[in-house]
Amino acid sequence: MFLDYLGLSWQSIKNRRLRSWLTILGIVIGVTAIVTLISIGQGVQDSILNEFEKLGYNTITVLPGSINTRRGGFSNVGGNDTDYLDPAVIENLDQIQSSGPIRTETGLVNSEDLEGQAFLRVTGLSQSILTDFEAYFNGFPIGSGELFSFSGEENQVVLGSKISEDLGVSTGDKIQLEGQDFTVTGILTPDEDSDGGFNFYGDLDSGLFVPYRTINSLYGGGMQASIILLELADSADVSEVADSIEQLYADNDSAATTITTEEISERVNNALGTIQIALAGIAAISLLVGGVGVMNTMYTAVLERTREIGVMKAVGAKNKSILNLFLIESGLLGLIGGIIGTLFGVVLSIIAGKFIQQALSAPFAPSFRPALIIGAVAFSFFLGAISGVLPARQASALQPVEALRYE
Amino acid sequence: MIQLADVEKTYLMGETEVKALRGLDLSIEEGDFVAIVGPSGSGKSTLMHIIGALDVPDKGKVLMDGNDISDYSENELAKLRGEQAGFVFQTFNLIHTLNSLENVSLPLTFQGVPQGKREEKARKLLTAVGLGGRVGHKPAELSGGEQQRVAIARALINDPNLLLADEPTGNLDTETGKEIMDLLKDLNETRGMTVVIVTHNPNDASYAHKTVHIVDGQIRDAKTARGGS
Repeated sequence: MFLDYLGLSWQSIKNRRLRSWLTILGIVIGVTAIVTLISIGQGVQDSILNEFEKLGYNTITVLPGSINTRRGGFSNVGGNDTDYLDPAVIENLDQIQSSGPIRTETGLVNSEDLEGQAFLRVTGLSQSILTDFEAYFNGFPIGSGELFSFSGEENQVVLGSKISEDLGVSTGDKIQLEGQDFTVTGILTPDEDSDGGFNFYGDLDSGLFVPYRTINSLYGGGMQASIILLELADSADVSEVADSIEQLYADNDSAATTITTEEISERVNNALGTIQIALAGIAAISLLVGGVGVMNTMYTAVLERTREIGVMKAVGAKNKSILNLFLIESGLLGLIGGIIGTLFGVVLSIIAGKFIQQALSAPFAPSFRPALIIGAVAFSFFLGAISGVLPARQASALQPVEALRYE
Repeated sequence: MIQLADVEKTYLMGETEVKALRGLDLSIEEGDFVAIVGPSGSGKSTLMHIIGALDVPDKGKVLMDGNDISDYSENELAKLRGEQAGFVFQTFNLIHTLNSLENVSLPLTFQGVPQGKREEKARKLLTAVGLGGRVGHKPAELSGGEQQRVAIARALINDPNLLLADEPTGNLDTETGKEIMDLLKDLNETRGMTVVIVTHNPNDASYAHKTVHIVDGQIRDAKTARGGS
């Protein structure tokens, strides 16, 4: 029976081709907008989550000071803050699988080519940083030469690509840091992804990197860290460990703030989710207008086909049959609009994705979740059907005799 | 088969009340061929609508096979029409988006008969009314006479006991009109179908066994003339 009604509805949609297409177009525009916005929004969310995934959800970043006293932004906390952390305080927490202390200082630098002196950021890296936390440093890719020795027995430095040019040095040359000679053992490859991710060292291209041991002996104060990256055992409860770390530092008469990847990703996710809902809401308005279009078309159809409805009733169609017939017809308008709109939306967001990728110069792809595709098509069908409810009820309530008399 | 007792029907035409039927009694026997005649506005179409369960009276009783249908619900009336009555209209009233075969099988669609079955039956009926070669044509591609034959085939698809025709030749030329009337006569004679026509064409009325003359919503006289033209 349903298929028969579908056939009848299809006939009348086909018969009023131009009007049907215009009505469908209204739905198409709304659905295209929604699918495009959501798939791109979802793509952004995915690529950000992917970044977090790279950092790992079982990591904790420990910063000196309590959250209330810390000044400055996130990325320059380590550099500007005068407080330090003693990594030894949390050494004995057994959920910690790996601990990567980093110390950042502003150093006085000299080179032969450089006129005068420069104050530059110097970052001391522990060995575990480059084995367990390399994602934080985009893999720390050495372009020429080699990594320094973590033993710190000799004064060695690795330079970012930009700073090596500024200082006019290449591998094997020497620079002066705080008056001491340092051999440049390696130069990093230019960092193309400098905008991506979180970093604690400014950008990789303009950094000077020395072993953790070296920076500590150069600037004194014992083994101090400006920041500690921690990787926990998979079984560990991240927020519980974070709490106990803060407690340990507090007990030790210092203060530490912990940031977990989970926390940040949750916050970013929430923010993005809100934006996405707002955008989809705006797009939904255009879909609503499409629904009004369906209603309008269906009211016109009821008027035009009043006699037809009378005939159908005369030959035994019940009110419900007429109601279903018109509901299926309006649902079908919505469904066709939904399918075409979804296809357009997919194509449009793939194209837009290419532009976004170019603009960001970072890999980006819109995300098409099955729920989005199925939801968009199903929703359009229901929107169409719902928009048809009032006209269909009007049609079904027509008295056969009056409908037959209608000119 | 059908008894009308003291039937009254008033309807609104714009703002004015029209008393279409004013206390009308009528009895139609099974196998009858009845012509309802009368001037325009005399209430003959209204009478046919009530006989065909398209409408119910404001007052009075309509007995169909002994059942009073005057207080039937819309759905009960629809079921009754779908199973027992077939309608033929002056303006054919075919659905112009559907071809002959689809038009004829439409009533069975609403009864949930599967497509194969109903189209087989529709094809047979179209052949019977001489349109076996026109099953795929849409109404616009058919002549008036052909359209009315399609309409008659549609009226017959549910094997009705009662065939109602409102001015069936009104939009046809004399020759085609005669063919249609012959077809109705044949249905009455060979199938024993009860036929009720509304007409103001005396020629059409001459086919009937019984002529009911209506004036101002009341029966002026009813003549029985066995044998027809």
